Amino acid sequence: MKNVFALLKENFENLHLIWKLSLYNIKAQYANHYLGILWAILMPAAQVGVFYVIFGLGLRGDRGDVQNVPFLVYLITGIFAFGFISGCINAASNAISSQIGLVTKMKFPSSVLLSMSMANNVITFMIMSVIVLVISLVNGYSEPLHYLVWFYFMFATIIFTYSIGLIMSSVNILIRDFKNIQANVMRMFFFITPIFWEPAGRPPLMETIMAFNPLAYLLMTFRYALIFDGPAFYGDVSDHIFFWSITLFLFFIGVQVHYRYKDRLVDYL
Amino acid sequence: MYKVKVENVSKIYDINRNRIAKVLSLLTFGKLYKAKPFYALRDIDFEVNAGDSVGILGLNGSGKTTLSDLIAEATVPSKGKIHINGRTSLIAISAGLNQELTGEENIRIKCLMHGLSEKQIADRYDDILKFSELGEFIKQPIKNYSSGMKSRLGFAIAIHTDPDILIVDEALSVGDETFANKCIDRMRDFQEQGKTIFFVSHATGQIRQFCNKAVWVQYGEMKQFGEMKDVVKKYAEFVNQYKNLTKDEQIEYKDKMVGIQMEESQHLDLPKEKINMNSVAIGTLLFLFMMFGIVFQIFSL
Repeated sequence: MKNVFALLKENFENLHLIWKLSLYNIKAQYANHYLGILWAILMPAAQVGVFYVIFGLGLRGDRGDVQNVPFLVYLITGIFAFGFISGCINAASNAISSQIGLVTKMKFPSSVLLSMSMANNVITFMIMSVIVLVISLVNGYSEPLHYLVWFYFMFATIIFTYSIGLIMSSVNILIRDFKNIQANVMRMFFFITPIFWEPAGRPPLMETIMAFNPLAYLLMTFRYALIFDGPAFYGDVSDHIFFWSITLFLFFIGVQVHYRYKDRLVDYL
Repeated sequence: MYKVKVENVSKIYDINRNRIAKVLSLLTFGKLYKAKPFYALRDIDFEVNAGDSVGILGLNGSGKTTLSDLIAEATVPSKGKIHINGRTSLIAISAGLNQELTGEENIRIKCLMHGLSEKQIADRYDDILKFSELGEFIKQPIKNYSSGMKSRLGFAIAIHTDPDILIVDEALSVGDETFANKCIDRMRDFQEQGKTIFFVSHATGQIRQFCNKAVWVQYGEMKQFGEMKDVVKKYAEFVNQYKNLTKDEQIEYKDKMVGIQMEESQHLDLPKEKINMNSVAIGTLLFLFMMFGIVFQIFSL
């Protein structure tokens, strides 16, 4: 329990640094581009454009609506949210091994490295969320009050992905093979999470898989918050309990693993 | 009042390379696993005051870099404690820079990580660039740099981050003479400001120039700590003796010493990992909660 507080304290004390470094990283990413930081907005906008050409103009045939929104919007929200979740997991899992050059010769709390690598994704996802919000507002998809659930989505996603990152950032260094396994597990989740298919009218097996897929919970929470009419939250009590019981357990294990190995990771490289 | 206090510090590595055993140890929380300990440092114990400049002497592989990493708090001792009053900055040949980024990006990121504000960085950026003598190359990724350039950049960044304790790990041995002299001048300024400097080297030349204290580490153990003159004299005597040996004898001597180090390591008891019962209890509770969550989800399908 002491470790949990230590981790929260480390991150809280370095909040300003995390923010500064991730802003700097985004700036550096587009440093040699003529349009510079504008690309942070153009990239997701271009993504929407591509999907619009393929699915919106009917190149792939009319896919019909999903609940109250066109398939295009359904797909975009899925792609954005899943990209954010998997981006956070990947970044956090590789946070220590990719930054090791910077930290081997100085004192720096490695849990902050994880937050730093995730902060990039958070900022780019905020821009994507704004794009979705604009689409939703223009078409009157969701209710304004429901938009607030977005904060719940962010909170849940950050805790969930951070927990996995805490575990995998240590494990990936101790046992390299896990990196490859992780890549394939994420690929599998891309298909068993309702990104480009709709849950309704699927075989019952798919429904069962969805119920036990925390990524599906997060993804649908995002959609219920921003685009679907109907309730503000996705799922019933059992879905919420399932997600949070798993997340809390992963978080606790993650903190233990992290504090057990953080001082020794340098010895393993 | 001490600035750095090293208390019975040991750094122990596990050189058991058996992969299956390692995975097993991860899964069983250290049970069912026989470690093969090897101490890189054993029972190092000394105290350094503000304003002291300490040379760390020793042959290759004697544990100098391990010691400097420990003092810089980049690694943590396996046993014992290190107390440090102030902020440290370590300069090493592998300067702790991100190879993929350019020199400029490294300067900014490193300074941010050392706790400088963006304004301070903007103020010092030109100084750092000037000191590093990198000129146009500052826009190149570090991976294209020569070792001398890397060490120059590392040095330039480290001295501009206001450390209370500066640790220089052989970083001057790769730069050319003029740059080394410039660095030594800078370190003299540090000395005058009453800052503490650790200077790691296998050669006595630069240590003679400006250290007043010295530590001699020999195969993981502290041979001597004290006034620079005494330690350097003893160390020089030893090196001369060593040099007079034939090649084969030198190798034989090294093997013998490492053999002793290995042998001694076997009698070392590794610090036992304590299992925190509190954590186990909370972990179990959370595990049960997760089980409940899963069962609940199954029944509500």
